[in-house]
Amino acid sequence: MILYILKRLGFGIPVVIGVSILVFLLMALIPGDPALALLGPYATEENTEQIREQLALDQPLPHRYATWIGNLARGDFGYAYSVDRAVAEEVAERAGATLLLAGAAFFICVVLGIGVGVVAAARQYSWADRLLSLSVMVGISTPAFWLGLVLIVVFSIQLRWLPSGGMVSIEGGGSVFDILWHLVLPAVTLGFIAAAVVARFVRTQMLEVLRQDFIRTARAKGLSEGRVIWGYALRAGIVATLPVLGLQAGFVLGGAVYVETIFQWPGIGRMLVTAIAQRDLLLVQGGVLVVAVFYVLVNLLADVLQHALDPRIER
Amino acid sequence: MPFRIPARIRLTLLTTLAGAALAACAPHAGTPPDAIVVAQVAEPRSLDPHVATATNDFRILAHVYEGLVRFQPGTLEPAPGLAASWSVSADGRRYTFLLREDVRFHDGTPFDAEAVRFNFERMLDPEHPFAGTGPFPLAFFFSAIESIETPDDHTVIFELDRPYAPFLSNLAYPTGFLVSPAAVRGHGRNYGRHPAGTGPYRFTEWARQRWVKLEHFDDYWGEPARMPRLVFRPLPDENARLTELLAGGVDLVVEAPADIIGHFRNQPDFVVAESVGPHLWFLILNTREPPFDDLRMRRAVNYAIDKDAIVEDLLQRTASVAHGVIPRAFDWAIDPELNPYPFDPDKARELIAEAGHAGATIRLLATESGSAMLEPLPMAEAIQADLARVGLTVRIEVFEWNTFLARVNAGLEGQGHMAQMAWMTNDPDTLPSLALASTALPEDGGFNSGYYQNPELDRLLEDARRSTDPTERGRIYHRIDRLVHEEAPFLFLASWRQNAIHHRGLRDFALEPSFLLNLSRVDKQP
Repeated sequence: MILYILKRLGFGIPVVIGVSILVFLLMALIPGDPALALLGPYATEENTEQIREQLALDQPLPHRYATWIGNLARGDFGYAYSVDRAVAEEVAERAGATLLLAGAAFFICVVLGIGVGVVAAARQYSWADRLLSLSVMVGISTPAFWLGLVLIVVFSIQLRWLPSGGMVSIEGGGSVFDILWHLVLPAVTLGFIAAAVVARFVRTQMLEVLRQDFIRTARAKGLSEGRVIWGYALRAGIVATLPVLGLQAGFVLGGAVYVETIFQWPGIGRMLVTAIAQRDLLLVQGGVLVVAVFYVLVNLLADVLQHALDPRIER
Repeated sequence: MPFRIPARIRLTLLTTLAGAALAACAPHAGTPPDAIVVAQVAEPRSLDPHVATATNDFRILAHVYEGLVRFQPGTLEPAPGLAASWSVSADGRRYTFLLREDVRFHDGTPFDAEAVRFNFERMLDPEHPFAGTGPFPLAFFFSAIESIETPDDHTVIFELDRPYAPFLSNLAYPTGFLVSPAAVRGHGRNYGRHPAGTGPYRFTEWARQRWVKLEHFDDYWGEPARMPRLVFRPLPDENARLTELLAGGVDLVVEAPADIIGHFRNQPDFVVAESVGPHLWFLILNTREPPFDDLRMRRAVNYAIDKDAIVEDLLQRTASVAHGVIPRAFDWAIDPELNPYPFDPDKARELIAEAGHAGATIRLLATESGSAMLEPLPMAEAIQADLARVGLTVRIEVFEWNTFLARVNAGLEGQGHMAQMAWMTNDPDTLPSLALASTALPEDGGFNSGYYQNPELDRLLEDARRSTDPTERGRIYHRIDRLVHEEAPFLFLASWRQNAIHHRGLRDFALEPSFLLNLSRVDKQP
């Protein structure tokens, strides 16, 4: 097992390196002088030169990339001028908020996705199945930014139940309850859409499992239908669902970019949007790299779990 | 067999329902009753008034700090601030300020002549022990200062190297706000996150991405502020600012987009506030090369543009038509008899034919977006269409903002015939002397990218700077206004009207022509 994990980790390295090259090139291709963009219209020649030197902007691209990676290897993510603090510090603070949002959304995605998928499969062609399948289709085709705005209009502007953005209240904010209260809308927005894909997959998977012999045997033994479905069929069906859940975890991380922007959630996604506009190269590169590492790790976790649960897969 | 929901799922469902119920019972989203919450367009860069350059930051600073003079509410005229009075020598080079004696900084240290000296020397003297707490990008506002004398604790004398009348307006601008020397000494390079001034509100907290909080300063020398607290929330997303306003997360939104303003005008719970601003949106005309070396062509394009249509339809009345180089906000400096060039395509065609440039191709340098640039691309297209109607073909070349600035500031020669530009200023002197004077050519480091040169204008600008009598100074600007209007070195287009939307509960709110926010006189009812 350990060997397998190491092997999979090994596969993750080229992905992360690829992402680092891609984001580096994309940032280099965006028009505009990063030094000028960072300093604004009142930049003095001296300050501009200083930043150009620190970002090595006068060097050829491969050299700049090598410098960046070399510094990264020493644990130095560089300095983020747009926020006036170290990139590592900024990214670490923002990553916490993003992980909280993504974690909550993922929880909703798993509970809702599997629940709906199983119920729809167990009652195939019933009104419940039709209704749930229709909701799933809506969920899959709904853009998150639209769903987010609709939820804001209903729950924040009309009903005034939930805040429309931010992470803590101005007055006496910061308690666990206060953060959860702010978390509801963004997590539901992100989780609902991710859940739709999972639900559709689980339904198909469960329909297949429910037709198999061991299910008939279980029913013949006189087990309750609930026990057959949730105890036997789901256990067999869930294994194949794990990679999909891994992908959805990635989707949730990526989707955080726009959900965080709509709900002003102070996470990595919103940080990236601002940093790109301000051409803060090192901050964008550092932020994207951290998201890529999360993505690789989450998918690794999904694969490892699948192995642990399904003895048939070759190690 | 009936399908039963298993216990574990039931538990989950119950928890979810309970959560929803809790959320419903939670305190209603809304701003605290003792605070005014303002939606800002971005996270502040610095709360050091000498380091900050953005209007967004100035809106916070204007509550924490004060200068020796301040703009009289509702105008751009300098009035006593931390200086109770002042006098100017006959040659316009010596400014003597008598300071108020009852003023303390928020950190408890007294405000005195030495503190004033510290402030200006930190900005201007590279050898100053705290010069490293910069950079101070707008220090050039005070570059005329030659020496500062402090004959006693409450008198400061500035000796200028030349007569420079805009000195007073510059002192009222945030770059002239005064910081506590003790706080700068204590916090060094981090002073911008630990500000201490003399204003009606003192700084309490800056939480990144969340807010800057200010609190009523109990020892304020002047009339105390009405609300106990102010909160500034950075909400860079335009939609987020408006949903927060609707959902009750903020009380006040500034710089609302044009097409949203109309929607709020008809809502009984909200008030739309608007005011002129010292802003000008114009096209620089390249007077060094044909066709705009010819006065007839410069006037022709001023006649050819339907400015009313641009302001009404495209900018949805968030701007007003400009008549010349001095924005209307400086009401004491504009010639009251001047009107904008009327929309007269026939006259434009006539002038173009006379000048022999019918059918000419014009290169217009434009940008996608930029500070105070309004809607540059749609505006470029509207100008293109209007000029096509008088027989001129316009080729629009678009650049990213900072690239655009670098190109235009280098001078238009060989690059284009016209370029978009917008300025926000604090004195009628600023724009003409930095962008139209002969001494401001790009090769000399100035912003006269269209190379307009006129000895008479140079002389008038110099006279206005030397004049220490406000009435006489106003009369000189009237002449400058008329001269520039007639010579048309720019295509004058519009002045931005600043706007704000707030809940009906805010009382006595008014926008200032300076674009600085002043909430100390504002009250809030539930």
